[in-house]
Amino acid sequence: MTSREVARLSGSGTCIPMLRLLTGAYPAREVEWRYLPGLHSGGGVQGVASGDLEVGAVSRELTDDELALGLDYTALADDGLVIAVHPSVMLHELTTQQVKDIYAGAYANWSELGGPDLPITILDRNEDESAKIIMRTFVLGSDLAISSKAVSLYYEPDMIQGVSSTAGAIGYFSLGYSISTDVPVTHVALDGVEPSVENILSGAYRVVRPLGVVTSPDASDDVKAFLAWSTSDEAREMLRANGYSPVR
Amino acid sequence: MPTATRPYGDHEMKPSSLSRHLHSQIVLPLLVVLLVVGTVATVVAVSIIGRVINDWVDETSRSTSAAVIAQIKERGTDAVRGARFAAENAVLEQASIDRDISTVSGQLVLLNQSLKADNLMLLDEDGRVVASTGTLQVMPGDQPLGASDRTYLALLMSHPILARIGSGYTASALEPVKGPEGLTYTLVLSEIIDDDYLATLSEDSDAALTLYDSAGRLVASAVPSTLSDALAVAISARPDAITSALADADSGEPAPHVLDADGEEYRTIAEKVVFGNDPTGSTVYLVTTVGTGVTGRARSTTTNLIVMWSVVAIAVLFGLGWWVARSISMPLSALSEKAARVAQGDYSAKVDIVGSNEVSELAENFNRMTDSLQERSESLTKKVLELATLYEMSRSLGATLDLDTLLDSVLDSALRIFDVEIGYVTMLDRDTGTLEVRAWKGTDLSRADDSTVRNSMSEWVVREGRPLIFNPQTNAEDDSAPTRGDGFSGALAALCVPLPSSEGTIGAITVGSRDADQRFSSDDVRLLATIANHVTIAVGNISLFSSVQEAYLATVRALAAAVDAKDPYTRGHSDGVAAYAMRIGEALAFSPEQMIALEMAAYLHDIGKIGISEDILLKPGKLTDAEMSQMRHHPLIGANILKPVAFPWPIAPIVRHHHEHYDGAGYPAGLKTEEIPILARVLTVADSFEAMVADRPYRRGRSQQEAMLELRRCSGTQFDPRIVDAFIDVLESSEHDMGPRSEEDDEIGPDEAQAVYIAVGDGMFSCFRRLGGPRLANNLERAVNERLRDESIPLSFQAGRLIQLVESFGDDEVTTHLARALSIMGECMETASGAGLADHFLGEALEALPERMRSHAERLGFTPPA
Repeated sequence: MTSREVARLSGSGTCIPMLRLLTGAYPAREVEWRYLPGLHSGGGVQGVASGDLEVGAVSRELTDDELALGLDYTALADDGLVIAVHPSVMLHELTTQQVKDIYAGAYANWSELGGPDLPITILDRNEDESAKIIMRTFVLGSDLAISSKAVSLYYEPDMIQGVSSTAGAIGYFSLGYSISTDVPVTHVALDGVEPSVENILSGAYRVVRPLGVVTSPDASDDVKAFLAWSTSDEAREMLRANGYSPVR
Repeated sequence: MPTATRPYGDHEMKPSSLSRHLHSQIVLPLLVVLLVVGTVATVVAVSIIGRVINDWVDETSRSTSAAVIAQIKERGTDAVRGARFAAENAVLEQASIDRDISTVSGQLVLLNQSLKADNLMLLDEDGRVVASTGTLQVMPGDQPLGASDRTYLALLMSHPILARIGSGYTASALEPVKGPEGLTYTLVLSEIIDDDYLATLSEDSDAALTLYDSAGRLVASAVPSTLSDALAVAISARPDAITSALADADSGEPAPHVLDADGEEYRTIAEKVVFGNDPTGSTVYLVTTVGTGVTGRARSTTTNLIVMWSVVAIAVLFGLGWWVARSISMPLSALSEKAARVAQGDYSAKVDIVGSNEVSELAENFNRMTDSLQERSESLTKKVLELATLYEMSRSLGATLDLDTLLDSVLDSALRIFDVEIGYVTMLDRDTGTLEVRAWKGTDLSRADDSTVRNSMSEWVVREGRPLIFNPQTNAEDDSAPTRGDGFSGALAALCVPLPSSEGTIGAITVGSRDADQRFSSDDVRLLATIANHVTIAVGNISLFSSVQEAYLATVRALAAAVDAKDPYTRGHSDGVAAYAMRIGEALAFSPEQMIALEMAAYLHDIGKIGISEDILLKPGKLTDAEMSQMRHHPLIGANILKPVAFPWPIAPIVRHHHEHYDGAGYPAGLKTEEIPILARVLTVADSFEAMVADRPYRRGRSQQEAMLELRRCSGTQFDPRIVDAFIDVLESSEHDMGPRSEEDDEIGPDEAQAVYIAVGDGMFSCFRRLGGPRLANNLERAVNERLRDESIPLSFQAGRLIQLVESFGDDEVTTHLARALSIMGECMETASGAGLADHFLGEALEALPERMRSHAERLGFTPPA
């Protein structure tokens, strides 16, 4: 027991639920997985580089500076970013333009979009968050001015909590997270495409975040074995069942 | 002694009853006290434990309840603080004033990101929802608050309330916020009070918590997994206990109630929860239910333990008490029993108690006491035995005048007192100075002679006049040369004390034993000396008595001689009568005293003849009537003479009546049969017989056969037939014994020879006197006496009789002397009257002898003249 290796994990909060799934299902017991508080993707990379972490979770493409660090990147899955509304909104489909307009503050009430008479509550993330980056990349566009009424939330759970508990709220978050925790929200089809694993795998749903981990090139065998297992068919099938889209 | 023990029979029962008594006196009260104390203590302890446990359970409920209420209130306060924090948000306030609902809603979401409230919403002045975020799922436009709560919104103050909002019951904090157009909106921060909420509060307690709203509706319930599901069911069924508890809580005096769920007992208590700064007074009731299952088990376990230990303690204490009582009462009863035995005289009773405490010390002292008692009792018994024996001995000492009898009985007593088997008495012969063994027991000393006696202890004792103890030495190994304490008697241990008298030691008494373990002590010396003193006194008495007796007899003989001198015809008559009387007396088994009296009376019976004139006495031929009547006075005269003399036995009556006849025809009183003293009747027979058989100067005596015939003839008339029969038996047996032997025996016994010499001498002398007259006879007597003196023969003629001057001569010597005396007399007669007359005198003397004596005389050399 005392000889068990301790592997410290942290980084992107988006990745953590998936990593938990993987470490929980990993059959080998030689490693004790220790999750440290969330540090976002950049923190995870810096942690591995400084040797404070064995595994750093990353939910975006590595930057040039990060690539320069010489760390190993292992892609695990693609996570769809789902746009969701409070069930009271009762809309199941929005166009990219509609979403852009909502976030731009063009609408004040869902009735203006054919929904019930409910004021729209816009929930947003900070610009440096991976989710917001992906959102701007695929939906909002890089130069869209976000309405002043929108509220930026720091953590994805807060976003999910806000959307699910506030009548008339709209937000976006991890499809895998949403599916695996069964959040009571309405996933909105974007431009007619349902945010599903099949659509993601087929490439039809493009709002996707790459989920992966960085490790030190001289990581322990145990960590390397875990990473090898995580890309195995068994692990992939397990991720797929939980709303993630494992890499091919 | 056996009868003496009977009254103590009851005592034998006492020890056991005593022991039972004492034992039960200790044990029974102890048992009762133990049972009472044990029972009371157990009951008290159990009830106290029960109360303590109930109190503890109730206290647990109360403290749990208080802790939970405190948490509820604290969370209420937190909610108020959170609401105030949210209300102070400038963006929210501005959005509220602008009634920018989207912004308000977004701000609420943002605020709640840090507040983590279950619900956060903004109400307008009518209590309608402007915007809301959280799990209450209220929609904009709803009026979630009750009417009364809404009225308090107008107060524009922040306050907490307990109210049902939307889908849940909440603890909510209300905070006024500026609204558009000067209106005041209200920010509501709610915390849902549900089962999870309660479960969080009661995390660490074992109590089941239930909350009811002011209307008594169940709000939330948390039953810890440690309590049974049945309780949850029971609580949801709203039992009476909870209703009662709620009622109590409402009245402000919460009291525990017993709740029964599926056989398990619970105690439940309800308390009212009101926020301190809530103007609406909204209320919730917290019901805390604590199971007594665990405590009940603890209670029953404790009760069982208490009862068990009480029983064990009672048993142990009782056992201890029983043991203590027994260890006290047993020795006591043993002591008591032994004491009873001691009281009965059994001093061998010993108490056997081991240990070293007061009781064993008592037992030891008791044993010492019984030992001492036994010792004293034994010594006392010994002393009593000694005293009794001494007393008996001294009585027997006074009772006998016979020395040998006396010594025998003394030895008997001494042996009994000392419990030994050997004893003998030696006495100093006063004349020869030699020591003789006079009596012995347990050893045969009949052959002891002078030299062996000289080797005995008594020789030394008599010489030194001091007692002597010989105890054998204790070296038992040296068996080869056993030291003889008294070689003379064969005793190994011996004690000898002198017999002291005023004239010095007269002998010694010795006791001894062949038992080598026998030891004599100085006490024994003293005791034997006492016996010796008694013996000495008795010996003195005996010698004194015998000397007195001898003096009597001498006197009597003198008197008899005087009578004989008066009547020469009846010379020797008294002696003969005495001899016959003694034989009759022996035959009739008279006592020694009677014999002595009879002997004296026989000698003196004719003493009255002193007063009869010699003319009558000596008158030959028949007496006249007058002479005869005078003659008949002689018994009276004799009695009168003897009357003044004090004989040990009355003699005068015998003399007075010796001429009485059995049929009353005698004289002087004419008494008959038993009226005549027995000794007088004996004397009559002896007197008559002697008169018949004796030779008289004037006639020859009749033969014994004739005399016996005559006695028979007069038996019943003159004589007492019994006496005649006895006498004739005596005479016949003696004739039978002696007759044949005298015929065949060549030897003439010294007695017979002496009798022959005396009779011949007497006969010759009386013949000489008859012819020569008194003067010549006296001359002859003088001449003969001179010759006898010259030849220093210890004999003397006195009144015609040969008297032996010194008695201590052997028979042969006496015979020689007598023979010599007779020849001297013969020679003197020849000198005085010539040889012819002397022969004549011899012839007459022989003629007068009875036939038997005459033949003896011839064989002794007296030949009658041809």
